[in-house]
Amino acid sequence: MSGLRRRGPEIDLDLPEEELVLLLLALPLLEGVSPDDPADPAARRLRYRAHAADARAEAAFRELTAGSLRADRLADRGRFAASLQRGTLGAEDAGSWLRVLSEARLALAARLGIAREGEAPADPRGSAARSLLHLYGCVQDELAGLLLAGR
Amino acid sequence: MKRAAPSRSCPLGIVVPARLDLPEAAERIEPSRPWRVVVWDDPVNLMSYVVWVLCCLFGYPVEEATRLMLRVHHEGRAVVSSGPLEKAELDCYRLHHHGLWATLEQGA
Repeated sequence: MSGLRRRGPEIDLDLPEEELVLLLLALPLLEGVSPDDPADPAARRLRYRAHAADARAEAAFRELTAGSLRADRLADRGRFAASLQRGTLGAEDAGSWLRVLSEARLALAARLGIAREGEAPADPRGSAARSLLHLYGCVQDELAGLLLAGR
Repeated sequence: MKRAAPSRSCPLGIVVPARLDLPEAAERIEPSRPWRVVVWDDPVNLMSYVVWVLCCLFGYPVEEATRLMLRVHHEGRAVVSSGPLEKAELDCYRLHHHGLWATLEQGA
Protein backbone atom coordinates (compact mmCIF):
# COMPACT_ATOMS: atom_id res chain seq x y z
CA MET A 1 0.00 0.00 0.00
CA SER A 2 1.10 3.58 -0.48
CA GLY A 3 -1.62 5.73 0.99
CA LEU A 4 0.71 8.14 2.79
CA ARG A 5 2.48 10.92 0.96
CA ARG A 6 5.03 13.31 2.37
CA ARG A 7 4.35 16.96 1.60
CA GLY A 8 7.04 19.07 3.22
CA PRO A 9 6.83 18.67 6.99
CA GLU A 10 3.38 17.05 6.76
CA ILE A 11 2.07 13.72 5.55
CA ASP A 12 -1.10 13.51 3.49
CA LEU A 13 -3.46 10.58 3.90
CA ASP A 14 -4.64 9.12 0.62
CA LEU A 15 -6.38 6.01 1.90
CA PRO A 16 -9.60 4.41 0.64
CA GLU A 17 -12.69 5.29 2.66
CA GLU A 18 -13.08 1.74 3.97
CA GLU A 19 -9.52 1.75 5.32
CA LEU A 20 -10.15 5.04 7.10
CA VAL A 21 -13.20 3.47 8.75
CA LEU A 22 -11.15 0.44 9.78
CA LEU A 23 -8.44 2.70 11.21
CA LEU A 24 -11.04 4.54 13.28
CA LEU A 25 -12.04 1.18 14.80
CA ALA A 26 -8.79 1.32 16.78
CA LEU A 27 -10.40 3.89 19.08
CA PRO A 28 -13.39 1.88 20.38
CA LEU A 29 -11.10 -1.13 20.56
CA LEU A 30 -8.74 0.71 22.91
CA GLU A 31 -11.52 2.40 24.87
CA GLY A 32 -12.89 -1.08 25.52
CA VAL A 33 -9.71 -2.16 27.28
CA SER A 34 -10.28 -1.80 31.00
CA PRO A 35 -6.81 -1.30 32.49
CA ASP A 36 -7.50 -3.18 35.69
CA ASP A 37 -9.41 -6.14 34.26
CA PRO A 38 -7.21 -9.16 35.03
CA ALA A 39 -9.33 -11.37 32.76
CA ASP A 40 -8.60 -9.30 29.64
CA PRO A 41 -5.31 -10.32 27.98
CA ALA A 42 -5.18 -6.92 26.22
CA ALA A 43 -5.30 -5.13 29.59
CA ARG A 44 -2.57 -7.42 30.91
CA ARG A 45 -0.38 -6.75 27.84
CA LEU A 46 -0.77 -2.98 28.11
CA ARG A 47 0.11 -2.96 31.81
CA TYR A 48 3.87 -2.53 32.05
CA ARG A 49 6.33 -3.26 34.82
CA ALA A 50 9.56 -1.31 35.16
CA HIS A 51 10.94 -2.94 38.34
CA ALA A 52 10.20 -6.59 37.64
CA ALA A 53 11.89 -7.92 40.78
CA ASP A 54 11.05 -5.21 43.32
CA ALA A 55 7.38 -4.91 44.27
CA ARG A 56 7.84 -1.79 46.40
CA ALA A 57 9.79 0.10 43.71
CA GLU A 58 7.26 -1.06 41.13
CA ALA A 59 4.34 0.24 43.20
CA ALA A 60 6.07 3.63 43.55
CA PHE A 61 6.82 3.74 39.81
CA ARG A 62 3.23 2.86 38.97
CA GLU A 63 1.84 5.47 41.34
CA LEU A 64 4.09 8.07 39.73
CA THR A 65 3.37 7.17 36.11
CA ALA A 66 -0.09 5.58 35.78
CA GLY A 67 -1.97 8.89 35.52
CA SER A 68 0.49 10.33 33.00
CA LEU A 69 0.40 7.19 30.89
CA ARG A 70 -3.40 7.29 30.76
CA ALA A 71 -3.40 11.02 29.88
CA ASP A 72 -0.68 10.62 27.22
CA ARG A 73 -2.57 7.73 25.62
CA LEU A 74 -5.81 9.73 25.55
CA ALA A 75 -4.00 12.70 23.99
CA ASP A 76 -2.57 10.37 21.30
CA ARG A 77 -6.05 9.05 20.52
CA GLY A 78 -7.41 12.59 20.24
CA ARG A 79 -4.67 13.61 17.79
CA PHE A 80 -5.14 10.35 15.86
CA ALA A 81 -8.89 10.97 15.42
CA ALA A 82 -8.54 14.67 14.56
CA SER A 83 -5.79 14.20 11.98
CA LEU A 84 -7.56 11.21 10.43
CA GLN A 85 -10.63 13.39 9.85
CA ARG A 86 -8.46 16.24 8.55
CA GLY A 87 -6.51 13.97 6.17
CA THR A 88 -3.13 15.44 7.10
CA LEU A 89 -0.56 14.51 9.75
CA GLY A 90 1.84 17.00 11.33
CA ALA A 91 4.99 15.73 13.09
CA GLU A 92 3.25 15.36 16.45
CA ASP A 93 0.25 13.63 14.85
CA ALA A 94 2.55 11.10 13.16
CA GLY A 95 4.01 10.07 16.53
CA SER A 96 0.52 9.70 17.95
CA TRP A 97 -0.50 7.56 14.99
CA LEU A 98 2.45 5.22 15.47
CA ARG A 99 1.70 4.84 19.19
CA VAL A 100 -2.06 4.33 18.75
CA LEU A 101 -1.45 1.73 16.04
CA SER A 102 1.12 0.00 18.24
CA GLU A 103 -1.26 -0.06 21.21
CA ALA A 104 -4.12 -1.36 19.05
CA ARG A 105 -1.93 -4.09 17.52
CA LEU A 106 -0.72 -5.16 20.96
CA ALA A 107 -4.31 -5.35 22.23
CA LEU A 108 -5.51 -7.30 19.19
CA ALA A 109 -2.58 -9.73 19.30
CA ALA A 110 -3.07 -10.32 23.03
CA ARG A 111 -6.76 -11.14 22.55
CA LEU A 112 -5.91 -13.39 19.61
CA GLY A 113 -3.44 -15.22 21.82
CA ILE A 114 -0.49 -14.50 19.53
CA ALA A 115 2.59 -15.25 21.59
CA ARG A 116 5.15 -15.79 18.85
CA GLU A 117 6.05 -13.87 15.73
CA GLY A 118 4.01 -14.86 12.67
CA GLU A 119 1.73 -17.09 14.74
CA ALA A 120 -1.85 -17.51 13.44
CA PRO A 121 -4.72 -17.35 15.93
CA ALA A 122 -6.11 -20.74 16.89
CA ASP A 123 -9.70 -19.47 16.83
CA PRO A 124 -10.97 -18.95 13.22
CA ARG A 125 -13.36 -16.27 14.52
CA GLY A 126 -10.23 -14.19 14.96
CA SER A 127 -9.83 -13.67 11.22
CA ALA A 128 -11.44 -10.19 11.25
CA ALA A 129 -9.23 -9.13 14.15
CA ARG A 130 -6.26 -10.58 12.30
CA SER A 131 -7.15 -8.48 9.23
CA LEU A 132 -7.16 -5.37 11.41
CA LEU A 133 -3.83 -6.40 12.91
CA HIS A 134 -2.43 -6.71 9.38
CA LEU A 135 -3.87 -3.38 8.17
CA TYR A 136 -2.61 -1.48 11.22
CA GLY A 137 0.80 -3.07 10.73
CA CYS A 138 0.95 -2.00 7.07
CA VAL A 139 0.03 1.61 7.87
CA GLN A 140 2.42 1.72 10.82
CA ASP A 141 5.30 0.26 8.81
CA GLU A 142 4.77 2.71 5.96
CA LEU A 143 4.54 5.69 8.31
CA ALA A 144 7.63 4.67 10.31
CA GLY A 145 9.52 4.20 7.02
CA LEU A 146 8.53 7.68 5.84
CA LEU A 147 9.64 9.26 9.12
CA LEU A 148 12.94 7.37 9.17
CA ALA A 149 13.66 8.33 5.55
CA GLY A 150 13.43 11.97 6.60
CA ARG A 151 16.11 11.65 9.30
CA MET B 1 31.92 7.35 65.49
CA LYS B 2 34.43 9.31 63.51
CA ARG B 3 38.17 9.34 63.70
CA ALA B 4 40.34 12.44 63.66
CA ALA B 5 42.95 13.14 61.03
CA PRO B 6 46.42 13.83 62.44
CA SER B 7 47.21 17.55 62.63
CA ARG B 8 50.13 18.79 60.55
CA SER B 9 52.14 21.95 60.59
CA CYS B 10 52.06 23.89 57.36
CA PRO B 11 55.34 25.50 56.25
CA LEU B 12 53.50 28.02 54.00
CA GLY B 13 51.51 29.47 56.89
CA ILE B 14 48.17 28.23 55.60
CA VAL B 15 45.71 27.53 58.37
CA VAL B 16 45.03 23.82 58.55
CA PRO B 17 42.34 22.46 60.86
CA ALA B 18 43.83 20.68 63.78
CA ARG B 19 41.12 18.10 63.65
CA LEU B 20 39.38 16.78 60.57
CA ASP B 21 36.46 14.45 60.96
CA LEU B 22 36.56 11.66 58.42
CA PRO B 23 33.64 9.29 57.95
CA GLU B 24 33.98 5.72 59.04
CA ALA B 25 34.11 3.22 56.21
CA ALA B 26 30.47 2.24 56.77
CA GLU B 27 29.36 5.88 56.49
CA ARG B 28 31.11 6.61 53.21
CA ILE B 29 28.79 7.16 50.30
CA GLU B 30 29.57 4.79 47.48
CA PRO B 31 29.11 6.18 43.99
CA SER B 32 25.69 4.94 42.88
CA ARG B 33 25.67 2.23 40.26
CA PRO B 34 23.91 3.34 37.06
CA TRP B 35 20.56 1.87 36.14
CA ARG B 36 20.12 0.22 32.76
CA VAL B 37 16.97 0.36 30.65
CA VAL B 38 16.37 -2.96 28.92
CA VAL B 39 14.03 -3.44 25.95
CA TRP B 40 12.67 -6.96 25.53
CA ASP B 41 11.61 -8.70 22.35
CA ASP B 42 7.92 -9.02 21.63
CA PRO B 43 6.19 -10.72 18.71
CA VAL B 44 4.03 -7.78 17.68
CA ASN B 45 5.92 -4.49 17.43
CA LEU B 46 7.39 -3.99 13.97
CA MET B 47 11.12 -3.61 13.37
CA SER B 48 10.68 -0.27 11.59
CA TYR B 49 8.61 1.05 14.48
CA VAL B 50 11.16 -0.02 17.11
CA VAL B 51 13.95 1.68 15.12
CA TRP B 52 11.88 4.87 14.92
CA VAL B 53 11.20 4.78 18.68
CA LEU B 54 14.89 4.40 19.52
CA CYS B 55 15.84 7.24 17.14
CA CYS B 56 13.07 9.46 18.42
CA LEU B 57 13.52 8.91 22.17
CA PHE B 58 17.29 8.63 22.47
CA GLY B 59 18.55 10.45 19.37
CA TYR B 60 20.35 7.40 18.00
CA PRO B 61 21.32 7.52 14.33
CA VAL B 62 19.25 5.08 12.26
CA GLU B 63 22.22 2.67 11.94
CA GLU B 64 22.73 2.44 15.73
CA ALA B 65 19.00 2.15 16.40
CA THR B 66 18.82 -0.66 13.82
CA ARG B 67 21.74 -2.45 15.51
CA LEU B 68 19.99 -2.24 18.89
CA MET B 69 16.66 -3.37 17.40
CA LEU B 70 18.37 -6.41 15.82
CA ARG B 71 20.00 -7.25 19.16
CA VAL B 72 16.54 -7.22 20.77
CA HIS B 73 15.21 -9.38 17.95
CA HIS B 74 18.02 -11.97 17.96
CA GLU B 75 19.10 -12.01 21.61
CA GLY B 76 15.74 -11.23 23.20
CA ARG B 77 16.86 -8.00 24.90
CA ALA B 78 19.16 -5.00 24.63
CA VAL B 79 20.23 -2.18 26.91
CA VAL B 80 19.12 1.04 25.23
CA SER B 81 20.03 3.65 27.83
CA SER B 82 21.50 4.00 31.32
CA GLY B 83 22.00 6.56 34.05
CA PRO B 84 20.69 7.58 37.47
CA LEU B 85 17.43 6.02 38.60
CA GLU B 86 15.31 9.09 37.85
CA LYS B 87 16.54 9.30 34.26
CA ALA B 88 16.22 5.54 33.75
CA GLU B 89 12.64 5.56 35.08
CA LEU B 90 11.73 8.42 32.74
CA ASP B 91 13.26 6.55 29.77
CA CYS B 92 11.39 3.41 30.81
CA TYR B 93 8.13 5.35 31.08
CA ARG B 94 8.58 6.81 27.60
CA LEU B 95 9.22 3.34 26.17
CA HIS B 96 6.05 2.07 27.86
CA HIS B 97 4.15 5.00 26.34
CA HIS B 98 5.39 3.76 22.96
CA GLY B 99 4.23 0.21 23.67
CA LEU B 100 7.68 -1.32 24.09
CA TRP B 101 8.34 -3.84 26.83
CA ALA B 102 11.04 -2.18 28.95
CA THR B 103 12.37 -2.87 32.44
CA LEU B 104 15.09 -1.48 34.70
CA GLU B 105 18.10 -3.21 36.20
CA GLN B 106 20.98 -1.87 38.21
CA GLY B 107 24.45 -2.23 36.73
CA ALA B 108 27.25 -4.07 38.49
